[in-house]
Amino acid sequence: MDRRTFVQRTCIASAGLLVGGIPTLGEDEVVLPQAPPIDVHEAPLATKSPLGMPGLYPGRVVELHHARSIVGNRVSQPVIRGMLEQGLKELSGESSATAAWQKFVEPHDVVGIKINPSGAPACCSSPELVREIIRGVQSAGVPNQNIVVYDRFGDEMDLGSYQLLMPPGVRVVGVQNNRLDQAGYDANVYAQVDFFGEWETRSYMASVVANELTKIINVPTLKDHSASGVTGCLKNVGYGTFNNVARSHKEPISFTNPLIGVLCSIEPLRSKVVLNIMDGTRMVWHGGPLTQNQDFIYQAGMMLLSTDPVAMDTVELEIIDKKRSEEHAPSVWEHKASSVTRNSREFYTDASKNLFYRQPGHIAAAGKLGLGISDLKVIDRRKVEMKA
Amino acid sequence: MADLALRSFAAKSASQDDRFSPMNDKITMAAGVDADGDWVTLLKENTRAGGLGAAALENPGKARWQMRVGSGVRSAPVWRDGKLYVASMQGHLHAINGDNGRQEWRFNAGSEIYSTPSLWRNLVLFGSNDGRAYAVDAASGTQAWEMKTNGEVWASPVSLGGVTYFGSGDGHMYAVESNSGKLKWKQELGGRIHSTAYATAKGIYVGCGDGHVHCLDSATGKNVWSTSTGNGINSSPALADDLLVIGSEDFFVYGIDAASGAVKWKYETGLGIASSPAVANGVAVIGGKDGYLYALEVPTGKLKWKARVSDVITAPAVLGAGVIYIQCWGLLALNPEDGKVLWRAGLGGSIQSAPIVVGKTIYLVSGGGDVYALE
Repeated sequence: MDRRTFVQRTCIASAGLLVGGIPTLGEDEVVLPQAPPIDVHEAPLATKSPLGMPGLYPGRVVELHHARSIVGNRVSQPVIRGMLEQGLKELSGESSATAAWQKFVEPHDVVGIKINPSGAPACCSSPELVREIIRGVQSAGVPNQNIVVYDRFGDEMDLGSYQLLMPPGVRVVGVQNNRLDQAGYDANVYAQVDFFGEWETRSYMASVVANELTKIINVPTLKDHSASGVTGCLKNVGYGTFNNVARSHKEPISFTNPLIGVLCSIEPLRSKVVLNIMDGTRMVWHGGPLTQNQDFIYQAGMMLLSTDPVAMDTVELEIIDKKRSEEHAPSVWEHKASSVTRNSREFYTDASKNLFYRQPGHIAAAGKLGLGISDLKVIDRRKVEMKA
Repeated sequence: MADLALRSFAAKSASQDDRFSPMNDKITMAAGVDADGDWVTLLKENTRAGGLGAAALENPGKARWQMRVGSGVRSAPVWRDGKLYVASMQGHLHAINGDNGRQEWRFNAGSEIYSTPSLWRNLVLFGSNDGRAYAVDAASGTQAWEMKTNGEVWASPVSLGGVTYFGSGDGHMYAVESNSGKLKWKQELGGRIHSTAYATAKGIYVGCGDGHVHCLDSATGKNVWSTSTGNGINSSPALADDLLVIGSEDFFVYGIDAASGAVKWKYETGLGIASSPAVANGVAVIGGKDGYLYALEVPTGKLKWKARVSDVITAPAVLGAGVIYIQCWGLLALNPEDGKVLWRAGLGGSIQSAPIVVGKTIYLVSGGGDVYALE
């Protein structure tokens, strides 16, 4: 099935204007170009799942804090277990974590766990959390051989030692083994758009997602992103499932808005993502997604759960921007020419500098595509402070 | 990244069987290994002395030859009789002429290879992501045998006394006859096994994904002792002065009594450890994911020096005469006395491989599959 997604933007420029430089609005503010339309070729499921984004509990976000979840940069698996169980019960209203898991997965499912290894080893989806998610999926009757921990890049997964640290029998899949490896993608499911005149204008869905998995548990990290503002549920599962996506941002311009939301809306990905569990034990408030600089990594001791990726990312955005404000760093919304640098070393050591004009508006844009709720006033945000 | 390379770390290749001494139950290494000799496992020798004796070379000035194997590489090369053996992520084992860089033969295992090959007599041994350990004739490239497991085999096979030992992602340690691949025993541990075993006549020492260091009876595979660490173990152990040195993903380097399994000391680093120690002259050198290379005194675990050389280190170091070589994106040479960088070469971009030094040539494989002979 083909469809064309025209994204409504208020910006007045176009990509063609980049040739003559980026126009300014007043002192230091710039006018950014409008994204071109994106064509989508998707493979919708025969029966659309009610569990797909935004899932069973649109707008509900459970936010847990536990001071002992990370100590000395080490994540405590027993504490994580308690947080995960409490969070699942709060999210679902069930009296047990197993009953909650049974709302999301069934014994016959092939369950993908989409981790975020980008930024490993300093900040990535904690193996301790992934092991607890596997334990939960098992408790719902899914056997190990039907559990797949996956990401696009095998080399980044290696940096996190995921293969070693998962239980025997669980499949650990890196969709591609180098940046040009295309064998793991489905040629029939893609988004097509020409952002900057790139030679390949399509981004294909990973075959394991298109053809093997029946459910996906999304496990992003709490992290800012130099191009998209934050990298949360939407970016982790969208850019981590389709190939050839880095082309959406070319310094200093980022078209992550709208591409992130559009990719997440493509079937069958949209229907398969049933639960988002954000690892907030560490928070990267600057330098994301790849920084190894501990000066910008705060041990936040958090975990967030939601079926609604837009709502969770909206909360994440508020958390990251608040931390940046506390650290006297500019908001991720700032679009000042003086804040942008082409010197990556400067970016990785100076929180006032960035490589792109960030696009946190990608979250609200995803909301307009029906993936969830982006209004903080409407979001049902449930904070749970757990005792150490 | 393997050990990323560790997975592949020093196997006790059977070609080292002759060095086994029943008197002391350990493989002994002659001091000052011939720098022109074979390099049959990740760090040249079964002793995990890290290539001790490799020449201290100046900053390489040119590549004598350069070739590509056609896909990425996440393991280290080995060398014997003028031939370089390189395993690739495309599932190929390549035999390359060391003089001119020409490929002599290529064996297709059909699945990604993370395992650093090891050499035993006329066989090249390695594991594959398809769950098999393979033995290939070194001269012709034809398959001698294969052994199927139910998980990925990322560790290097280790051979001693005609028996080859390796762990699998199915959570079992395997012992097979080196010349036939026939199973002698297998033993279930508590997690995936990517650590390459250290073999002696009595004990097989290996780290496990469940966070334990295990000692198994060499003859039967029965558990002799298990010692717990705080997280999974990618690292491959080295044995020195009856002390087993190994790193853990729990951020610590451990010194463990080889006889009892008692922890004698542990040293805390800044992040997890996937690298493996190279041990020589009473000093263990090991890298951490925090980007530091650590030199620790083996008897006490006391820090001799540490040097930050990269964002992350996962490969093992090679200990030359008066120099330490390590691959972390590029190739670095460091002063073994204080860890200061002597020179850097911007080739060999990989954190999952280790160089080999033969005479005045450094053979280097990059993550992208480029193979260099540097002079």
